[in-house]
Amino acid sequence: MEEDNAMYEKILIDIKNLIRSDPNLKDFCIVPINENKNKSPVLYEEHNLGLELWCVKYVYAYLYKQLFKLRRLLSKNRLIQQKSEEIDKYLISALLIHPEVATFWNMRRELVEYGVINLDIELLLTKLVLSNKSKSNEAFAYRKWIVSKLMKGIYKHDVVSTLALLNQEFTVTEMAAQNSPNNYHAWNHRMWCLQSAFVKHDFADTPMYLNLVFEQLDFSIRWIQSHISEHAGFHYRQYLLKCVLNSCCSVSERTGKIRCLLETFAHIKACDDEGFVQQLLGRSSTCVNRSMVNFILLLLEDLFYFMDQLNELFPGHEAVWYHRRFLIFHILQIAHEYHNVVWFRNVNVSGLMLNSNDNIINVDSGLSDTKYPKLPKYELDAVESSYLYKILLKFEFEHIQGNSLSKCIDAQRELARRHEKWLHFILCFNKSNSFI
Amino acid sequence: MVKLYSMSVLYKTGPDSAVCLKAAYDVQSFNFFQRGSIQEFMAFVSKTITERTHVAARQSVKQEDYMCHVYVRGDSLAGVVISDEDYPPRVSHTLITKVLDEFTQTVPASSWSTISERDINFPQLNAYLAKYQNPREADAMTKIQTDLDETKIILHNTIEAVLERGEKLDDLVAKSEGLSIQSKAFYKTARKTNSCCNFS
Repeated sequence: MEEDNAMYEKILIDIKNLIRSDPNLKDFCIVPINENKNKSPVLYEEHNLGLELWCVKYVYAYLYKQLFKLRRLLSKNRLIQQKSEEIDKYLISALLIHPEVATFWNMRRELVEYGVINLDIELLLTKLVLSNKSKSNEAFAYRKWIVSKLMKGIYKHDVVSTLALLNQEFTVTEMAAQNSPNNYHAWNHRMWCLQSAFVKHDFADTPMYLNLVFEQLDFSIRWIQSHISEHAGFHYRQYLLKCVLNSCCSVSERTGKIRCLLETFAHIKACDDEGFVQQLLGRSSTCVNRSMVNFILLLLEDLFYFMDQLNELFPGHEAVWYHRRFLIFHILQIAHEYHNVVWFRNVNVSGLMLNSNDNIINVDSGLSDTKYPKLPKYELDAVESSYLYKILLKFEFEHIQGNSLSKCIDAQRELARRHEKWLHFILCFNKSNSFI
Repeated sequence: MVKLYSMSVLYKTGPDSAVCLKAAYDVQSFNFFQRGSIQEFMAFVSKTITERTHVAARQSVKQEDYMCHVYVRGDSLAGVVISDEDYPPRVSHTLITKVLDEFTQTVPASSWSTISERDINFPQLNAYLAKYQNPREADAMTKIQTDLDETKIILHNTIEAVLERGEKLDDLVAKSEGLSIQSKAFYKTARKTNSCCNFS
């Protein structure tokens, strides 16, 4: 027994020393080796840390017992200085093996509050935990706590340090999102970090803000292209696109491509982005503002370039179509706000057509003959008579047609059909209006 | 994820035997200490699947999040691609055709039955594996290759479906000589962790 305890202590000290001495550690994992080959179970190679499976059970039982013994001392705040090294040592291994125990994280918080451990080590530790268990909510919560402490320590004008901190968080969240698909906690953490950086520096009116947002938008393109069926990546992109609305800086260097396309398509000529969007939307009593112009042009670019590309390469992926819905919905929403028109759409769908499965099937058979239920005739409002609306109508119906051909795979045809239904019943798009 | 994990060229020496002529792997996304085992496993799966595919047939096998595509040509030369489930299958299959064509040009057919993996110089395989991680790169190529008839590819939903009647993956793993003791332990642990939701 004594001998065993000495061995466990040795393992714990090894792990702690490795973490202290190598700030470039990449990841931690429990390696499935079931036999005790009479050598140290702590593996360390090329900045990777591993622990052999056979010892985990015993080590964890040992340190669990030790930790709860020490916890009584910690709560009475006695001997804290003398014991802190020991507690730290146990906590590191305990959290690496089993990060779900909130009590352990809280004990670490106490140590941080007493000032006995360094915040950089905490960032490294949470990173290692997340490399092993990428969806650990407790680890992300703790990391948030540490990051907000670090953020508080940065001067208001010290943008460089904030950006360095942000980049570090981006790397960690990217790793976590890479390791396990649909990692809500990782993306949430990423957005929270961006948000707190924005709040801290009142970024919104500086070119810095848009730079950061555009950098992330480019990142999200790369991410989505390699994780096509994860809606999480699209959701991040949608968050970033909405961030564009907060800034009034010009982004004309990014909008050339989409303007070029639409200019030839709709025969619009304008010398700047504002004039261009105004012609697209038509005249209104309110004037166009910079942020709205940016937003609309970026959404249109996503719709006409990015979506097209993804659609061709990855047919049958639902997430792509959902992003398409997001884009169309928000373009139209902002157009309605601009014209001060109440948007006539079926918000309350459940009462209308789609309240039961039978009805959906009935609706389908109607769709295939393109005999829609008659909607009451009404005058086209300002939005519906705009160029933008007509372009959207035409493109969407062409898109649906293109993806309903017999050469397309079944899943893609099904998604196209659902998209058509959504356009018709939710947005009240009407095919008969689709001429220019 | 859209990812290619491995690409290999094999030679089917009999109705149920095959040898690996050349293979390339990308295991960077896996944990450092498990890369060796995972690579051994991919070699094992590639070989097993080739052995169970008929000459002049294409198959795709889905196993959990992975896809394994195989094509055995009329002259018994076979290509296997292991990718993530999101990687477009059409691209994988055209890629196999292309790689096999180039391999035939580089290494003469007469030597296939005798040559060993070490003596073959075919660095293009690694280059392709890196380049076609992005399927857009391959798209130009696939547009030219229209002769691929997707309806002829047999799709299986588990690897067990490819195995012959009575065969069990667990037994094959236990018997295999290509897998180290550590990899077998790794397989057992993975099997146990993944089956936590089963009541059997």
